[in-house]
Amino acid sequence: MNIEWMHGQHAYYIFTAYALTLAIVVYCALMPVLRRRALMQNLRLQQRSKTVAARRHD
Amino acid sequence: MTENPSIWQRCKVWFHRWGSPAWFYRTSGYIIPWLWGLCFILALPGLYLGLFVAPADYLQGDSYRIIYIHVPSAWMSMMIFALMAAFGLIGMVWRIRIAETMAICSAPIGAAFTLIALLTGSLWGKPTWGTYWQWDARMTSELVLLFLYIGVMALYQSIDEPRKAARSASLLALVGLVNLPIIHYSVQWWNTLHQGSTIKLDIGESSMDTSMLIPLLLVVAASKFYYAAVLLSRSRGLLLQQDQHKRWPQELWHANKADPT
Repeated sequence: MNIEWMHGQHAYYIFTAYALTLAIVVYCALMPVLRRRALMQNLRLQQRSKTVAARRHD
Repeated sequence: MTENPSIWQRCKVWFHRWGSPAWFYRTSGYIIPWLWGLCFILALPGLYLGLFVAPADYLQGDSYRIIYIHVPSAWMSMMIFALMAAFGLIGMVWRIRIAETMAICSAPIGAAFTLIALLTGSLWGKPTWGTYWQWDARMTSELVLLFLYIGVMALYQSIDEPRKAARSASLLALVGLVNLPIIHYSVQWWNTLHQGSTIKLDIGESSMDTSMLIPLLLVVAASKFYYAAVLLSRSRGLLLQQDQHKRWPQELWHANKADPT
């Protein structure tokens, strides 16, 4: 396993490039999932309020 | 209609089903975990081989290891733009809503890949060229691509009616296609600081050793599956947001199939 580069003069640039990429990639992957979950939660609340309103009407 | 439909007819029915938001939402939910699995299966060994097994470059030293994210991102930035324009064209000609949705959802992913290509490129440029940025043809045209992505997203957000907004943004994407050959051939048309193509898919041999090339190709393949997974995920979210007051999300929710993943 070649890990010499981690102590080399270019390590800073390599680490920064990979860290920035990881941050962007994770953000792009997580955002739609979190957004959809929030929408599903909203839908669930809407359904619940409709059910409660229907029960009151009865 | 015949009793036993041919394979062609079955394929046609299967393809047309993708036009239904409810079917798209449910089916893509089953596909996404597989896409993530393939992405990780390819990316992890690719990055391991690239970072810990491949030898240092005789000229660039270890800074070349940035190419394992820079090259796939740069390729993806152009491929996604072409796909975005293709989805937009399908949406404009055949009025298929899912195609419009996928065109719009491609824009932020393509912008992210373009940003990664620009950032990692400048981080590679500093130890190699001695500068983070140069108004070189390749870099400038890639920056224009980022602005085009931002323009597509801004145009979509600026129009209230989603379908009209998607068609307008698709038109901009189609116009922006002209930038892709400029990016690709910039290193041939002008004397640029940026190096020419190392990997040749059409004619000639790649000027890269196999021990360095295989990890790169693995990460390139992984980036395609990443794009597919995030695109489907974003499209599901956008469809759910636009259709939340329609019947299908509520029916799916009632059937407890809204989130099969």
